[in-house]
Amino acid sequence: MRSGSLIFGVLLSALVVIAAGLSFLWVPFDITQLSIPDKLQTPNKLHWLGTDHFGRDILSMVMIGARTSLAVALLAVGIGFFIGVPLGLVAATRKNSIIDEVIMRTNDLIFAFPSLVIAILITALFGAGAMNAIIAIGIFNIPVFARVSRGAALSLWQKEFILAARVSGKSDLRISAEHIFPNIANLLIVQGTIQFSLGILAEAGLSYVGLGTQPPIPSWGRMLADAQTMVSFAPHLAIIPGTAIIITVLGLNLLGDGLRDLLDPRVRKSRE
Amino acid sequence: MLRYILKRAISLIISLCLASIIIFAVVEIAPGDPASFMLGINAQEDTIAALRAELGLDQDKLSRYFTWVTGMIQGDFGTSYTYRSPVAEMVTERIWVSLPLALYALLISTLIAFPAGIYAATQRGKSGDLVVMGATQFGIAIPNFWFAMILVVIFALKLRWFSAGGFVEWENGIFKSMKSLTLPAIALALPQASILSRVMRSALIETLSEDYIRTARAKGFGKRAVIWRHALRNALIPVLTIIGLQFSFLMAGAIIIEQVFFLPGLGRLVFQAITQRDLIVVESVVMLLVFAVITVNFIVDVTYAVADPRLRRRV
Amino acid sequence: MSILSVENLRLKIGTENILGGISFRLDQGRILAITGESGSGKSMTALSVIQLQPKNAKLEGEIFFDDQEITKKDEFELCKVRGAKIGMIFQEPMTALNPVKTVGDQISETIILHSTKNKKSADKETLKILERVGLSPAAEVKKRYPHELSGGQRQRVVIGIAIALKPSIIIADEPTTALDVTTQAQILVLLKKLVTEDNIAMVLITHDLAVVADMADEIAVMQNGVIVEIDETDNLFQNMKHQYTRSLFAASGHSVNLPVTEVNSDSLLTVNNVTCRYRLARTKIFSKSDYFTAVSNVSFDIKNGERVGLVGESGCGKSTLTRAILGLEPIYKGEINVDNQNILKATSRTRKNIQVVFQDPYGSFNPRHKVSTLIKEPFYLIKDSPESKNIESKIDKVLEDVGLSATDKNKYIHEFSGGQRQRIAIARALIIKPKLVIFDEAVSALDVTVRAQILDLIAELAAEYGLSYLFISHDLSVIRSITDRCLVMKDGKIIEQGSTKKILEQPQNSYTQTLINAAPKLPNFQLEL
Repeated sequence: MRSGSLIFGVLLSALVVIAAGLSFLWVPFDITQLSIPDKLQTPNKLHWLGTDHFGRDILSMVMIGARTSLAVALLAVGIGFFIGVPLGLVAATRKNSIIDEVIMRTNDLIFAFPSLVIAILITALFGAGAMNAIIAIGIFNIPVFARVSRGAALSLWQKEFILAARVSGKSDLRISAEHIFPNIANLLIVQGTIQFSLGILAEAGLSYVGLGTQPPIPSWGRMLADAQTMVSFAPHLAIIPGTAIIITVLGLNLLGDGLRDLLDPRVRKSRE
Repeated sequence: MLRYILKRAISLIISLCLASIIIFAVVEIAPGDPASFMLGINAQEDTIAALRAELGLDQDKLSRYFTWVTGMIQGDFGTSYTYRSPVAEMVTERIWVSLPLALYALLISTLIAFPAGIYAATQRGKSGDLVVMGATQFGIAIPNFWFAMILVVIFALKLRWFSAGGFVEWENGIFKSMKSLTLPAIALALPQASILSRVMRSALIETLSEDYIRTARAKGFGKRAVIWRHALRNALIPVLTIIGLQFSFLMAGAIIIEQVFFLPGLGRLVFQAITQRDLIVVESVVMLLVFAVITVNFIVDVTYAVADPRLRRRV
Repeated sequence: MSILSVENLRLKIGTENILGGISFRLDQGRILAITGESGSGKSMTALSVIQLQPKNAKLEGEIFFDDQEITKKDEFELCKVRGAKIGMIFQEPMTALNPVKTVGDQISETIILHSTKNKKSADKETLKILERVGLSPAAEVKKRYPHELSGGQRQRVVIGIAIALKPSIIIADEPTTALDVTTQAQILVLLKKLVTEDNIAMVLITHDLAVVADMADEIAVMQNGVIVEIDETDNLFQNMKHQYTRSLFAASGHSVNLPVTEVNSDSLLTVNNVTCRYRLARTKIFSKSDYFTAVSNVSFDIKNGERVGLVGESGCGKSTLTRAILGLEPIYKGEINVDNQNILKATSRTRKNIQVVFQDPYGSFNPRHKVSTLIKEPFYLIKDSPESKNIESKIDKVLEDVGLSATDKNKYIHEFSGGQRQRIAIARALIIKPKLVIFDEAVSALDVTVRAQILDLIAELAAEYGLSYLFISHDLSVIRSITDRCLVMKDGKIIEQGSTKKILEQPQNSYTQTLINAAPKLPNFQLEL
């Protein structure tokens, strides 16, 4: 089962990444061309996944939508990672100091905010769009990464090899970079995959209420919002983008689980 | 114990103060003046100024902040810019939709997650575990608003068991109101149930590997008896945290589900208020939600102390 | 009539043979000690007897308890035997009790489970048991949670659970390994008293040969999953038949050949009235912080060429003092000087003179680095000096000095055994030629034979490198074999110091006397190697 989840995860994630990558070079149909006569076709030989209410090819839209989803989620993870991890590492080097308290209490505070409401607030007040969606989702990734890296770093700071490095006169900063970070990287990769998949869901949610990626750039959430009024007579309009989201999130989660099992020596040992 | 609660209570108050400042600041620095937004692009300068004065927007920021906060403490949440009615009244009206919905969803989620998680933990590595864990992977991956749409198609449009949206007021009978909340609650509960059963499973597995479980087995407790008598209570601690977080998520995160089902809840209120630049409503509702989250976490912390004697006597 | 008889017990996990045909018998009222080094399968033997071996283990052979075949019993029948007829005591008292239940409940639930007694009479019984295991006032202790008791007290509770139903057998798996030596002595006395009073047969699993000698009627020595020798205790000590038994006992009574060194009058390390303290969590929100004084007004010095020991039980402040000497701990009062420079302000040239070897051979190295990277880390202290040239050849040299080969530098740490890792730790400490090395419980995690080798190596290298060292240990036999002078520490204070020989033979302080008397000793025995 363990290696199974990794394989499934890799396959599903690869499918999405390839679709997104391919969309830069080629899509089956040009989606900027509206063709009303072809509207609302069910999947057929020409349009593999059918067409929408403007007659646009759904496969092409899903492929370009993948690009949007991945980019937004990845950048949001990046914000969380590059701000959160250093904060967590600093907090760990100065355990129980003022700076640790400030960092961690701020984290708690951010956690206390209903993320989706705040994301909606930010995107609505500062303007709907991909950029603000990235920032809104990214802000809530910061405390996650800070917490994970602080927790893991704290237990490492107790280890004797860290004491040995301190005896060798290395500064806390240097030890964090040289010894702590490489040893928590696995954990962060796993957390990164999880946040990535949560980002995909959040982006879809924001786009669905019209505050994420703006038309004409296709996005899965937007496609679902458009589908809502037509879902009774054209269910494929809802089913296809929904499935795309499920495949992506499922793939990333399985990948995260698989990586954790692969990288965690504790689990690896118990398997042997 | 009292000391611990007092300590937590103080940090709760500090959090609330900071939260109010942040919310106020975010709304302040956001572009878009409510008065000009409400009057449209063609409004005259002096009309806008008059409206700003009427809404109290011409005062300086600090005194506006204090008016807002002191008002809230007294239960006065201000007056909505657009509806011209007290925010407190609007909120009370809406909370009777959002709160039952959140509790309903939490109930469904817990009822599914506890048995599923415990079952999976006892069947660890066997096919039963695989099936439950596979199902939860799907549960987490499905966007709840999409799931809501599918539920509407199947149960409202095709089978006609439920209505496709809207809320039946409580005056029309509890049963009818609950029925109108059932599909939204299921849609909300599905991902939460999946997360919770995974947490339940791993907490239980972790606990079952502890030394004291081995001691209990050596005492002559069977595998089942050990779970009920020793493991479950210890495993409940992380599960409680997640339930606490989920409740707050369900209060606030219902925002999109309320859109899908046209439910007049808090989420929908804040969404509408944001799009109409009804900032006083936005501030107050978000503050209320944050208050709910922080308070629930406070209650969870205190519950911890009751569940875990190590915390109970710690100073 | 034997109460327990094990016939040709074999146990496999995956393809690995853990037990390769174990047989022994145990009569009512007798104590059988199973001893051996880590990985010999002694704990697995214990777990198999109550059928709590890991799920993925495959077991063959027969175990007769009270003339009934245990391996053939189903789970339901086994549960009736466990706890009621076979009691079990585990190693780690800190984790063996459920943290969220009172100790009284944890004892009484055993009674309720196996008898028809109601809660009330079980509670009464519990009080008697607590008194029996020496926990009084029982009515008070009963209501406590495990975290409110000390390690020794917790182990008494575990023993209480094991004897609650007057079982025929108790299986004790390293019951005193996690305890301090004075506590260990008390627990051993208690165990012996209880099994004698109730005529209980006991299987005692322990790696500590002195404990074995002290307690057992019969001794089984295990190596690689088989019993290599089993005999009555007296017979075994008079006539050890198997080579492994002999080497094991030899290593355990090993005395290091300490080369004669010259001590000159220059102080290398001076510790001057040092006090270290920690802030405790505040008891009231607005009260002043309370402090815990871990090290209190400690003074001593180490001269060039001296070999000094520091002995004390857990919590005596020796770890804090060690860290303070290394400059890793803030000092509240007093000062520590290395080479006449305050350690907290010392230049890296001075700090280079003090290096350290830690206890845990697994936690001492970054698992992501190669051995060469690991052992050259101290060069960071003198990175710009000419001494840090030719690092590669210095690595080769030091690896060979500690008994490894130069080619080991390209390996990762997980490829080495515990003993080899301690050699690497010593290499890391020696590579920049310090004057003083702190050995912080550096052999405590090692098996006896490996421990003897490492101690020999330390003695030899110290002479070769002209080292002084401070050897911190809880184990008097280690201190005895490797130091000339020693300090005894208790509650943050040095309570006695002087020549090792004198302190161990004529201790003046009453605590030192207790400590020395509590340490189990090997009887005199003849060895023909």
